[in-house]
Parts: sequence; structure tokens; C-alpha cells
Amino acid sequence: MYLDLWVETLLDLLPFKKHLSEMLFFRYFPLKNTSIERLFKDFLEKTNEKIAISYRHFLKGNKSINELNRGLQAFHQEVLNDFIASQRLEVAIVTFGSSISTIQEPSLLSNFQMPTLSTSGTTKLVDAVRLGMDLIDTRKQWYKQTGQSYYRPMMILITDGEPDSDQDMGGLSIEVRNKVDSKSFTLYALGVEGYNHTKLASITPTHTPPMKLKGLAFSEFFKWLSNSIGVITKSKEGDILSLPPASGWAQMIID
Amino acid sequence: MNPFGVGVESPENYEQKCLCVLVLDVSGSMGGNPIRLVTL
Repeated sequence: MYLDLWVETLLDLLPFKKHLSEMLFFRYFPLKNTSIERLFKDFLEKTNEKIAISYRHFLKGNKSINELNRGLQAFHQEVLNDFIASQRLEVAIVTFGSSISTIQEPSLLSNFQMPTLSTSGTTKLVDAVRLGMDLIDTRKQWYKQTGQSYYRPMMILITDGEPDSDQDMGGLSIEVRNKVDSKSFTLYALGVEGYNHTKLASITPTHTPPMKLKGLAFSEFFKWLSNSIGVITKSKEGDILSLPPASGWAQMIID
Repeated sequence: MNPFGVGVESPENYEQKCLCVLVLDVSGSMGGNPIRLVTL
């Protein structure tokens, strides 16, 4: 049996309150304190269950999702501040946990408020990328149908984990590379601490390997993205683009 | 085939479009440290 329990739940279930000060200590020294693990193991021995434990609640001020949300808000505002980009950039948002969802259909940023994301579940990464590719195909058809020209669409994939075991990374890799090779779209993958670089690299084109986010520098990344989009949306076909350096948010990966 | 454009969303403008699809991981581990499996 696998459970993903909040620590607060454990606090309710178990006589742990006398150890609260120790837990608070753990919040600030998460990598050095091991006695908290002893407490959980005692619980597991008593209940004879196998439990996936997250210490996330000890790190409330430092969650990836919070920084991602801040980055998205900043991105929204930065684009709106750039008149040309705001007229040309359409954003769609697909999220993935145990399920996938299109939480924003393609639209100019002036037409919607950036959502605040929350977390749950596992990592249906392949399903989400496929949904993203479908969105791109559908939107390109609409552009053609309505006489709008377009730059090559881009997909930005951000993940901190590895896909669920039922996710067909091999099949996705072929699909993505075929579409990228035919210039249907460009895929950029961004790994957050804990991601599986090898698996992520297996689906990204060789000329755009996954980049690792430096710490939780989401705001720096989205600032870079909005600046890059500003450059792209002012370009003409055949221009050689000079995008801003990624040094503020990217971390070097040595394979 | 839809010769009159009925039911088709009209563009807000005819600027060249740049489509960006954000595919974002909102799995549990994005809410804090990666989940750790404790095995006895």
C-alpha cells in the first residue's frame, strides 16, 4: 500500500506532537537531521505499511510550485508590457499530474488571467506532451483557415520528476523528433531539481537538449522567455536571431 | 469545408502569431521536496 501523506495528517494520527520542536528543527536542516526518519519508520513498523512520505510541508516557503506561479505571473506582465509581443504571442497551458488538463486554450495574454497552479499526483508527462502537440496542430489549422501567418510554434516542457512507468517515452520520442524535424514546432525542456535528465533527453531534439533550472529560478527563466519572445515577435523570416543569454537561470549539465 | 466561416473563431488581429504551449508538471513533488519512498 502506498500513501502520500501530509505530515499534518501524521501529526493528527500519531503521538508525534512531543516531537514537534524536533520537526521544526528538521524544517531548517532537512538534509542533516535523520531522527525524523526514525520517527516515521517507527510508525511504519507499527502499522506495517509502506508509505511514500513527502516532507513538503516543512518547506512551505520554498516550493517549486510557488516559484513557478510567481514566474508565470511575471511572464504575463512582461509580455503585456511589450505591445508587439502582446499582439502576437498566444499562450496555451497544459498541466500534468495523475491526469492531464488544458487549463488554458491558446489565446493572447490580454484575454486571460494567469492561473495559480496547485499540485497533486504523479507524472503523466507523455500524455501531456501529446496533448500539447494536438493543441499546436489544431491552432495551426486555425491560423491557416483564418489567413494568419505564424512563427514556428514552441512548446516549453517543465518537469521535476520522471514519467510514470506507463508512459511511452520511446513512442513519444519518435513522434516529437518527426515533428521537430519537419519544423512543425520546437520543443524546449526544462528540468527542475530531481528530474531525470536521461529520460528527458530521450524525447528532446539533439540540438535542443534539456536545460536544468538553477535552483528555483523560475522568475529568471520566464523573464528570459518573455525577452526572447520579444526578439522573436519582432523578427522577419530569414533574420538571424540573437536571444538573451540563459546564464541567469540555466545550470550546466555534464553528461 | 466552411465557406462562410460560420462557427469559426475570428482572429482579434492579423499580426503574425507566435504560439507558445506551456506543458507544466504539477505532480506532488512540485509542492516541495521530491517524494521519498521509505521501505522497511
